[in-house]
Amino acid sequence: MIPATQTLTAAQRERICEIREDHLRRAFGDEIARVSKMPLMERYRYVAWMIDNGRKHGVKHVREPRGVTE
Amino acid sequence: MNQFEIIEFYLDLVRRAQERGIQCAITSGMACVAFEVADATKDCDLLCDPDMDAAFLALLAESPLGDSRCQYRGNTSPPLDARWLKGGWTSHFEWPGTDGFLDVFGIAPRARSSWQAEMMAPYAHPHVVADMKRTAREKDWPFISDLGALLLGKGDQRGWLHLYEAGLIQQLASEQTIPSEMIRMRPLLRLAVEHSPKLQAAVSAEMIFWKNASEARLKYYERHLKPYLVAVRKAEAGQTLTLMLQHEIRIGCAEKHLPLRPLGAAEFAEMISEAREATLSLIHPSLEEWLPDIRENYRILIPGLT
Repeated sequence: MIPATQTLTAAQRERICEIREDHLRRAFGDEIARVSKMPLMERYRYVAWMIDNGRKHGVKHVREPRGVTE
Repeated sequence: MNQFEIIEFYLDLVRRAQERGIQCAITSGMACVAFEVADATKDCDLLCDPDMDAAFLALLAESPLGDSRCQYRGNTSPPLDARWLKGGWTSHFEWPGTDGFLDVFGIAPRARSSWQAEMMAPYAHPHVVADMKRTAREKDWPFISDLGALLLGKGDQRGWLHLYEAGLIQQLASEQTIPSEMIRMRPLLRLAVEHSPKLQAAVSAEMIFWKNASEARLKYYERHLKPYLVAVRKAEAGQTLTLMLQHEIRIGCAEKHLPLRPLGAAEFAEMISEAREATLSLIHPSLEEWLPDIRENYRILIPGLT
């Protein structure tokens, strides 16, 4: 049985948020951590810019259709 | 057309689908962006209720991207049909001449809860997205941990199932008690409670197991594809077809050559045994007891799995 959602104090929520941000920075770098705080459509705009920029520099779309999702 | 316009197209497609009563949810990379971890994903991965297959296909047929009309992508793509979607197949679409690519599936791989029951519309729930990210691709795993931390930040205890960094688990365990039900579902969490130095090794072992299970699962599907793709290639050769005509052809080919459910209970047992064996050849024997029982992650795909 899945336990019910636990009610967190404001301090707990803030601390978990800090831990998460720290993980984001370690795992993805400062730039992605910064972008991840932007409003949603700005995040999408930034991600789109990354992709367009990659394509301009020859980065290929590599995911071939396999009939099944990994 | 730039990528932002393509992303807006995907979001609009899903909005129009939902207006027509088609239950669907964006998942994977685009969902991760929505959940505050930016992923440079070019494709749109979409869960669609299998019973709304015809309605969604009709919507795709009516949804050009610029001047380009939607087509099935590649000869391997199974038809968008409930019979195959329910068996875990994925349908692939493109808009030729553009960078628009859409993958549609009916069952969320490895999800232990029904994606339809819990959504954050227009996105699948982070718990579902995290389960789906357990692939053999190294780059997917930090996203899973981030989604785990996100869930815990909302008080959702299922976050404990999705953390793949020992330091992160310990940090979060110092802020919250890990519920016993989560430890039952994921034994290695006990090592966090005990501050055991084995935690990192157990996390790595679990990741290896999941990756082996993911690769083993794919093999069961891919071994059935060749006769189907040969038939599709032959039937579509040299023709310019509308999406609906392609669909008719693919249904015909799939009915002859593509099994509905390549992964049944017997195949699953074999798959797990193979994945376990491959994992045990790489890890210390003392870590085997910390591997999770992953049958929960396949009960939706394989009804009646015990």
